[in-house]
Amino acid sequence: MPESPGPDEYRAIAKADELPAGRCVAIGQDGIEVALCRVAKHVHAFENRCSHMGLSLAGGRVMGGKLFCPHHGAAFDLADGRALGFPASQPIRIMASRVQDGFVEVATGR
Amino acid sequence: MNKPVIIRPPVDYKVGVRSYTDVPPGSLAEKMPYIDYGTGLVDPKRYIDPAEAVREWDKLWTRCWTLAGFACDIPHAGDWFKYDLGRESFVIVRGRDGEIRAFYNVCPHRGNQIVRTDFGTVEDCFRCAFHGWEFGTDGSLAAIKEPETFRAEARAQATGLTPVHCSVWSGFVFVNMDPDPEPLEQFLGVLPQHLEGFHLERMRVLEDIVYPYAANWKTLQDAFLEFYHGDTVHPELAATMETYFCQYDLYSKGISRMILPYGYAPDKLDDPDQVNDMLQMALKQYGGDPDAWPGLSGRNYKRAIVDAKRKLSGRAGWEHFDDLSDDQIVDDWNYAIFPNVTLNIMGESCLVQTFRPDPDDPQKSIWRSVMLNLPSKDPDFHPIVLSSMGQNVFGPEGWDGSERPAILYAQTPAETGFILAQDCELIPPVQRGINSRAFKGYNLGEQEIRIRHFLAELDTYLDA
Repeated sequence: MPESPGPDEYRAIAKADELPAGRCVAIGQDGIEVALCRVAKHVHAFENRCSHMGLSLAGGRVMGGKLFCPHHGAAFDLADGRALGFPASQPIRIMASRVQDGFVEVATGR
Repeated sequence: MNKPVIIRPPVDYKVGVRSYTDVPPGSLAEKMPYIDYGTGLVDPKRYIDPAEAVREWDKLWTRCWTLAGFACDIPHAGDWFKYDLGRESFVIVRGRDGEIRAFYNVCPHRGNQIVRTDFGTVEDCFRCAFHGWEFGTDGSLAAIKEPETFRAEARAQATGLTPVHCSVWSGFVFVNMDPDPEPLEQFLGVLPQHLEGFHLERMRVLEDIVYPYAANWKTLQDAFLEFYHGDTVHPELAATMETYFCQYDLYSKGISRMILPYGYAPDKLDDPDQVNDMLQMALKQYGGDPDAWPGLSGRNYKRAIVDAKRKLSGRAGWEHFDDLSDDQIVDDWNYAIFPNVTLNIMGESCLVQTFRPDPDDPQKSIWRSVMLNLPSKDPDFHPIVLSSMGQNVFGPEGWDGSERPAILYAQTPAETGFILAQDCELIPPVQRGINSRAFKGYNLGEQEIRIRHFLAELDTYLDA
């Protein structure tokens, strides 16, 4: 039986160069969906659940340090996940992430 | 010691000045015939009167094509951008069929604005964030939330989003509120023919800035229709850019052009033979080496700049440069699209400026500056930031246009770029002066003829 990683342990979940610029991609990991947003060589990771109505952020645009939900247009700060105005008021949950040897590694915190 | 004054021969206003001495017939650089707009003062009321702004809204803005944005900003189905003009707002979206359409940004249910951010994408449909009504990317009404709570008559009068005419030229997306507009291609007059070779549709956004001006939109735009102010407002540019032998051309449909030759020491300088620091910097920013041109006079330095830009285009993969003249790839070919757009095209880059009226105050306007640049296949390429032209300001190294910057809402002139900040500082006090009881109206010279041409076209709308 494979060893299960701790919540703060980084796990590779995607190849960085396969993530499109400017678009949010969702990938399942540890039983939860992770929303990945690549900006140049950096990747931001969040729980894939918009704080407005709980919908998926996959396909949302990533631009100017913000992620835009594709459903009702809620905007979130890529740096910390805070909501940037109507219709969302609550943050989305950010996850620790890094790029190592071309792979995106995320600590899901779960 | 005073600077020596250059004695120029008299200028026949019917002939004007030319940017180039050796233009073959039929070339796009050809000087257009003169249009005589006389010498009357321009009524200052045009720039301050609230009634004039209302007339412009009713007869101009709601009747003509205006630039809304760029097709490259909505590459995929469902991608959209928002465009605000005066009291209206529009959403421009790429549909499932790849077509670009525009709609009034208003939910027909209760009037909420469907989109609130500058850009976005929708997975399948727009969802109003007020009551959740849904609209397809073709504008059709897709779903009413809890429709059974609406009586049949109310359901029957529910509509989709209200469309507005939308047309795309060379990657530039225009909208028109007129119910029966002339085709965009007709409205654009000579522009498609003149600009085809620059391949603007291949350019991508490097920088996008919005700044609120305390000036009427025309006061602001008028400053960008002439370079008579070049020496005094942009002295740094004047070391490498012509400010006198600049050609002003007028075309039908209110379109006009000025050509500002670049890359040499103009004869106004104290010593035009000297290769000044700004010229050396200009050459270096295109990857050229000043040491490789010993003995080349500042007057003839454009040769070195042309050489550097030709080599740059080879590394970058800009094959169409082979079909452009040396003047087209180096100089500023500066076109105005009626009513409120100017384009500074310098070969690989195009500074697009729009001048929009404030929704409420005729003494205010909204300025937007979008810097487009050709993407490069050279990983060492770094684009020149035209808003700070001549200041060695570059975009990111290896810039390939794939990452679209957000719109920067500038709070201070300095944020708009070194050169454009000079205009930002210039204009608001001009507006103040136009309001003065002492000011009788613009008294224009022949270098400012494009302002008269623009106002004449504006009058054809206002008097219609």
